Amino acid sequence: MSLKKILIVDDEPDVVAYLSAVLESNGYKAYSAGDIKSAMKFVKEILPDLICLDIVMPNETGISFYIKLQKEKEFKNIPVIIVSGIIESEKFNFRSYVKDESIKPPKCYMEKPVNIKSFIKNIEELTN
Amino acid sequence: MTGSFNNKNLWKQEYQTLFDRVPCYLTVINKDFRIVRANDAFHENFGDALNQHCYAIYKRRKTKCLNCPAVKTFKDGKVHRSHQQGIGKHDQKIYYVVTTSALIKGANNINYVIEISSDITPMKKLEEKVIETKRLGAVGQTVAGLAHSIKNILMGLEGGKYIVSLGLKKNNKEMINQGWEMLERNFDKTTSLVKDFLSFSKGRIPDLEMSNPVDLILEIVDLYKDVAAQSGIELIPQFDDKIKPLPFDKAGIHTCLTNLVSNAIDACLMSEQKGTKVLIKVYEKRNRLIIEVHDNGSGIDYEIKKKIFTTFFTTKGGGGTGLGLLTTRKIVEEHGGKITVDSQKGKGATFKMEFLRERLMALYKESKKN
Repeated sequence: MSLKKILIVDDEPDVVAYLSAVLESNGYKAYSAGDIKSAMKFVKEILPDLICLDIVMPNETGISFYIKLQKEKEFKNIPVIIVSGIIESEKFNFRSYVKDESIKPPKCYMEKPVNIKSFIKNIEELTN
Repeated sequence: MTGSFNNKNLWKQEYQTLFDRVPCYLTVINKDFRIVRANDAFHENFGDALNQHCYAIYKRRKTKCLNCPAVKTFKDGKVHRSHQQGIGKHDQKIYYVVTTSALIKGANNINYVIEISSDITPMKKLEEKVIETKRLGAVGQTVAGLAHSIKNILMGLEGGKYIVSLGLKKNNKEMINQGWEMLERNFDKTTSLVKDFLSFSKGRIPDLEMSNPVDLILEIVDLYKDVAAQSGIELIPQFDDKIKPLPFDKAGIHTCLTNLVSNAIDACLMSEQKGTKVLIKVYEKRNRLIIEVHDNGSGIDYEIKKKIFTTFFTTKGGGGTGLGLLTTRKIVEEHGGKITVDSQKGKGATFKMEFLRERLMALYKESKKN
């Protein structure tokens, strides 16, 4: 059985290294992109089973990338976990970023530093 | 009504009502600065005042107020105005704009001056509230930015710890090294963040000494020339030989320049174009010392440009603390100068620090006195 492909989109190399190590040691294949442009390239090339997405990134935010994905028929169903340090999990309000009701909120929001057990549990649930 | 104006008594009554009920404090003072007449509005807010010195009543002072417009009116007979702050009869602060005028227009000898004071306390309070709200907003934003940076560092530390322990479990030396480097890097980031934050929060007075800005520019070029050369970036100093020394805080301006030059190098690294360069230019124009740091790197888009000097903000992921330009602006302003940026996405950027020579000299004289 081929491994599930997880794409990590984050401009912080240490976060990428950490999440990749966690994913790989839990039986996933991790890919990473440090900006939105290369993230989009990866999505088209590998069609990931799930995307871990940071919000604050240079040039273009994770939210704008998420909107782009939602507007593409072939990518809109890829589950997305937002992994960000900008706000506490319970206070994350997707509608304060995206007013357009036709864009569904991401499947999950996790606050940095992430709790690894919950992170893996969420990945398992969303990729099965 | 027309008929009433011919009636002296009515006219007098109308004048009295106007004097008492006009929404200003009115007082007439003599040459000794004693109040000889005051309207009801004045009595209501400042209490009984007849025959007392206006400064004693308005401000509870024993001597005339600084910047007193009445002194000027007694002297030249002209209308004068000033902003003042007084104390009401219930010890409340009263802010007012006072206009003074000779009671009898065109008189050779001015014996009486009328003081007309408009109460601007509600406006002043509103202004104070706006400033306080802005201040709290800025504090909130700074704290949120700080929390964001700390969370990223924590994530790096957790990551390092995780990879080291995974490496130990698998007996994988490469992994242990990778995790250890992550730990080291994130400890260093904690140090830089704390250092930058402290230097930003310090309300320090610049330590001014007469120096030549050209020497400082050459020092910075020397500091960065290897880093720039390794990345294929040309670092060019450009200066006017005739610049005379002037007072500035060498350590402070050094910090500003290292922030600007390292940002410029980062912008060149982020750019896809070849032949990138950073130009550090120092010159004098209309009695202003101008230091410019120009690069032809990735440039800054409009949304980001709006907040770079005011918000705890970074586009460099884990590479920046988000405090560099905030600190730079603070140091420049401590020198009485200003910093501006001119940039377009993809077309490089020019950061310009401007210092008025006169202002620097005045600050220098003041610092010597202290």
